[in-house]
Amino acid sequence: MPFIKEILKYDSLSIVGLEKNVGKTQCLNYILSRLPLNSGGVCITSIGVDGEKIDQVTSTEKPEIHISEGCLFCTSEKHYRQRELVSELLAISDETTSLGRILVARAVSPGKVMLSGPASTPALVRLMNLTKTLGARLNIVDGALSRLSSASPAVSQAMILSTGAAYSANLATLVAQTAFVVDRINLPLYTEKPDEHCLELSSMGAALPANMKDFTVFSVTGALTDRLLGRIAALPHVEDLEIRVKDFTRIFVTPQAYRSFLARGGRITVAQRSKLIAVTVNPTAPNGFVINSDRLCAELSAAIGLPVYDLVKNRYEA
Amino acid sequence: MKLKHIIDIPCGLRYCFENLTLGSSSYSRRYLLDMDMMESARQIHQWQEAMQPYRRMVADNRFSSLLQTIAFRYNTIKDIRETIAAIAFGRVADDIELFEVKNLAMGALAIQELLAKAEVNLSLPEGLRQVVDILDPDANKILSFYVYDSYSPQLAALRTRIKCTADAEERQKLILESQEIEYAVRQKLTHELQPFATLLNDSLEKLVLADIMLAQAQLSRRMGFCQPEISEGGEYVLKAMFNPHIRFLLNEKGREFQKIDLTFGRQPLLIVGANMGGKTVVLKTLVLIQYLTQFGFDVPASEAHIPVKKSVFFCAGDAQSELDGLSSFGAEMKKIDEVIRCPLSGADILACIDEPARSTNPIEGTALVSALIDILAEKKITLLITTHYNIDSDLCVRMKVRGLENGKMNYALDVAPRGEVPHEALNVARSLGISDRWLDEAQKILGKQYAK
Repeated sequence: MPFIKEILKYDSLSIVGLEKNVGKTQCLNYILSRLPLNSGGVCITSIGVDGEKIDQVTSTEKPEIHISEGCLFCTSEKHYRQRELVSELLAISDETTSLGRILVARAVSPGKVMLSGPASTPALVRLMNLTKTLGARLNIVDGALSRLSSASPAVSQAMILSTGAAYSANLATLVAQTAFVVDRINLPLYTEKPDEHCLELSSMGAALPANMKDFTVFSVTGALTDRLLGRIAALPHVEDLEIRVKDFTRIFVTPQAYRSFLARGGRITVAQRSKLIAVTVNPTAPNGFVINSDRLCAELSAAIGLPVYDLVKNRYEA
Repeated sequence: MKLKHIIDIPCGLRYCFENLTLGSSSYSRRYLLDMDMMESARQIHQWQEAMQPYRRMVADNRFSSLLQTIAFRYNTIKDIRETIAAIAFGRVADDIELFEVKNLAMGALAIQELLAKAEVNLSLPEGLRQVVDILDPDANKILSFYVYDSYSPQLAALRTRIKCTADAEERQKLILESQEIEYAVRQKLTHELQPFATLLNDSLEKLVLADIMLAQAQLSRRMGFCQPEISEGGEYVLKAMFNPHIRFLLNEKGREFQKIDLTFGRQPLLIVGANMGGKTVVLKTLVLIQYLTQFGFDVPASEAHIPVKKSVFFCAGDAQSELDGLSSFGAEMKKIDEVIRCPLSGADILACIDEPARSTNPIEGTALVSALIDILAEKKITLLITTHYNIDSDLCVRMKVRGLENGKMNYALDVAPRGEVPHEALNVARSLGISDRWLDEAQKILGKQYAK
């Protein structure tokens, strides 16, 4: 039973899929069915809408989210009315979505439910604070389609990444692109306080300061974009440079620009990082294409230096 | 006149409102904004009377943690009037609506109990306990709701069967069946709750009023306000009054607000004095105090006697309405004309007019202001007016800002003799560091005129 014990060390976990149909919900159900019952209150929250029976985009069958007795969950008023389980309503939060206010409930009987959650990360953080007061010890956030923001360290301490053939059917591309995400998640922390060598930059500004070449440390407020990275990488002393960003979700650069900057000796550091617990794969794409599961796991694991699991094929014992 | 209509008049009312610590999500805010201005001494007395227990509670340091608990509890109180209306109408409530009702009833009783610890009696209707009993059949006393097994033995049996059924189709059938029973239970509950609709609305209103009064009492203590006395004779007595917003802005710059005493009311009051002498601040603060009093607030002063008014006019001369195509003079004249045309009896009106006709030539300006004072005095309107013009009228009392003393501005007001307006503009300008060349030239011209 891989990585379940590891999860229990944290009080918040997000599950992020790099694409639709990469087995994110499978992964959530795997965790929910195997968490020890005595682990205390578990609450499932999501960002955006999730848990529908049929994938709205590709019309493939999707697993529903299965909740066991005693588990807390957050969902919108609309989805709460459609739930297929007996549950006790605990609170009505102040967060609203297009599907109504977000409610917090506890499952009285096991069953299925559609999850929906607030669309912004600050609202998600507020909601998670509410569930804590209602007894949730571990908040699991079910991330929405290709939304890395819910995995931001501002929201959750730990994360699980789901990837698969739906993201790319070419094994080499899939491994390279997933490894790029993992690299960003595992960027080192910076600890020193900003000093006189540190220049604050923003990609929103019209012009960059002319005295950039006098600095070695750049603290980027907001997003690190290709343009900004390109300007910094053009400085003569790349090997001494350090770029600081808030967390990995603020980096929006192409793998080429990123790798070339690092290869030339530059460093990128983050203020906050989340712990990547595991990577799961779904070797089957919605169009029916299948990658060899064992090869995928082995190659990806070698590339990222972390265990990789195909939860469906291997049906790990509870 | 509702609070929301006047809250943005530039006298500092918004600042006081935003500093209220209202608990009940946004409902208390909306309720207060939608409140009508109290226009009789009786109403205000009643409000002040009702506020006394909250005032005592806030003043007692033993209750500071209790106040926090109450504020926390208030966060769960929501505006559920729509749900109550639906139940009164007989529409079958769903789980969420029944939770809302239970939440209100339990929350209200909990707040009542907390307030009772400080000897504040919320006197909620007795029937509220019955509402809780209906929605808490197992007497769990926990704030949560679902269609409990104990509502229907049939439902309980069905739920046990669903748990044990593995076959998906069979399970689905049983789930549908249980949902039908749940609907019947909710229908019965709605029916039972229907007679309590009015009572629920009353409880909600009582809670909100308590929240507002508690917040007003806390604001008063935090900011050093006092409870205003309602004066019957139309006279204003204000000791050490201040404007909380301006005080806050000054404190941020490391400066102090100099508190001012002011007594007037039987005759129009004309305030003259140096530029930057705080004349406008006196006007703003008076308008603020008038509104605060009539919305049940305490006022920023150490002692205050305030008559009740039906209408308050605040004409701050810089109102330029470019959209109406009027110049600052035009906009100002129109605004002041409203006071003259106001059909209310003069004693019911407070008019605070800041430097009327300031933007026209001093000869016509003086005539306009003199005439204005005569007309408003005849109507017996309570009038406070500031000006730089030399107004020679028997009908008004004049007061003067003490002005620059040893390079520092003294904002205190003194009764001023009739006749000459003070010529302090040049001194004030000099203290601002305006170029000497300009001011010396002006001094020379003044000298020539006086020589004539």
